[in-house]
Amino acid sequence: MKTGKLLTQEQLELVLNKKYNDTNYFLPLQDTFDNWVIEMAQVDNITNSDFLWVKNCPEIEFEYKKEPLPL
Amino acid sequence: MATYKKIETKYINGEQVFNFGGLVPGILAGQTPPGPSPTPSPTATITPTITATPTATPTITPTHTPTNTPTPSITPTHTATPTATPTLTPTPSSTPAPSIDPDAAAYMTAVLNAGGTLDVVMSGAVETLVSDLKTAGVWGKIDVFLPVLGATANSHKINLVEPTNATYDWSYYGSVNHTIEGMTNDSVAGAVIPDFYIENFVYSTSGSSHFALYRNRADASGLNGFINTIEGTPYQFFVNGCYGANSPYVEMYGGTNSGWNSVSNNGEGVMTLNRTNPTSISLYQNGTLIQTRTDTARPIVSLGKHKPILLALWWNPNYAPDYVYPDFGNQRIASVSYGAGLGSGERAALDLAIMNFNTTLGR
Repeated sequence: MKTGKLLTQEQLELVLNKKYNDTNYFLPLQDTFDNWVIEMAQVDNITNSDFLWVKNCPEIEFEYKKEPLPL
Repeated sequence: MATYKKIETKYINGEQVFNFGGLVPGILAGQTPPGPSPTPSPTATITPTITATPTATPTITPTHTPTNTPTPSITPTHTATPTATPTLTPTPSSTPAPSIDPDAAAYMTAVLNAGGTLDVVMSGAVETLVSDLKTAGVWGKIDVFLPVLGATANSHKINLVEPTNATYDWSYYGSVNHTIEGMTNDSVAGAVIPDFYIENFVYSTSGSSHFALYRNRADASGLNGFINTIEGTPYQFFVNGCYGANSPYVEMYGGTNSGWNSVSNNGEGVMTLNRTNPTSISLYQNGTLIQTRTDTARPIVSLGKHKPILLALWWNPNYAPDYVYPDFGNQRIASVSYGAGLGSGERAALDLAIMNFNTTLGR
C-alpha cells in the first residue's frame, strides 16, 4: 500500500508536464479505482511555489493500477 | 638630515651574519659585537642626500652619528628568516604535463558546471573511456553516452559526446535519486525519459542502431524495464531486467514475430542491443550473445513515440496522458549509450569500455 495525494481531473491537468522542483516533473499514477494520485515521495519534495497546493490535497492510501504489459 | 646605511644580512655556514658595511665587521646573530673599533669620522662618509631643496643649508651636519657600540638593533630579534631561497628559475621538466583529451575535458567541465563533483579516479576513468572509444572507432558512432557522473540530476544527464545536450537531452519524472553509483528510483515512481525519439532503432531502412545500458543493481522483486518503444498494437519492443516478482529476465519482445524471448538472468552488467541489418537484432549481456531474433526494420511512417524510458516498465503514448508505468523497482543505472549499429569488434569494444569504466569507479 502506498500513500499519496488524491487529484481531481482538473488538478491532474494542472500538474501534467510541470516540474515540481528544479529538475523533476510530476509523475501521477492511477490507482485501482482509476483515481489519479501523486506519491508522497514527490509531494514531500515540491519546491515550485506554483504547486504547493498539492500538499493540501487529500492524502490517501492506494494500490497502483497494475497495467498488463501490452502484449 | 641624516642618512642611514642599510644593514645587510647574509648567512655563512648556516649562521646569520649582520654586516654594517665596510667599517664594521660582520657579527653573528646573537653574538656580542666586538669592542669598539676606530670611530670613523662622523662627517667623513656621510653625504647629504637632500639636495633638491634650495633652502637647505650646505652645512648640514648629521647629528645622528653612527656608533660602534652594541645596539639593540643587532639582537636576534631581527628576524631575517632563513627561508629556503625560492627558485626563480623555472625548472624544465623532462616529462611535459599530460594533455587531456578535449572531449573528455569538455565533458568534465560540463559536469562541474552542473554542480557535480569529480575526483581524480573519475577524471582518469573518463579519459580512459574516451580513449578506448576513439581507439576502437566507436566514438563517431555514438549519439548519446551518459557516463552518469557527478551525483546530481543535472550532471547525470550530460552527454559525453555532446556535453551541451543541445541535441539529446533527458528529463526526470517522479522521484529519481542520484548518487555516485548511478541513478535509481528506489522503489517509488520515477523515470528518466529522453526528450528525443529513437525512430531509427526500430524503424529504419538502414538497419543500423545500438542501445547499451549498464546496470549495477537489478531488483528481481521489482519490475525493471530499461527500454521499450510502443506504437500501439501490435508493435512493441521491450528489453527488461525482469518482469514480475521472482521473474528476472533479459528479454526482447516485438517486431514481426510476436511473443517473448526470455532468458533467465539477473539483468546486471552491460546489456547491448545491436542492429546491423534491416532484418535482425541481437542482445548481448557483458559481451555475451543472449539472443538474436528476426526483426525487420521498417521505414519511418506514421510514427508513434519511441523512447528508451529508463527506470520504467513501459509507457504507452496512446494513453491520455502519455502514461509512464513506473517499475517501482530498485534497479540502478550507471551508463547509457545510443547510436549507430556496431560491427562485431566495435560492439565488443563498446561493451568492454563500459565495463572497464564502471569497474574502475567501483560500481
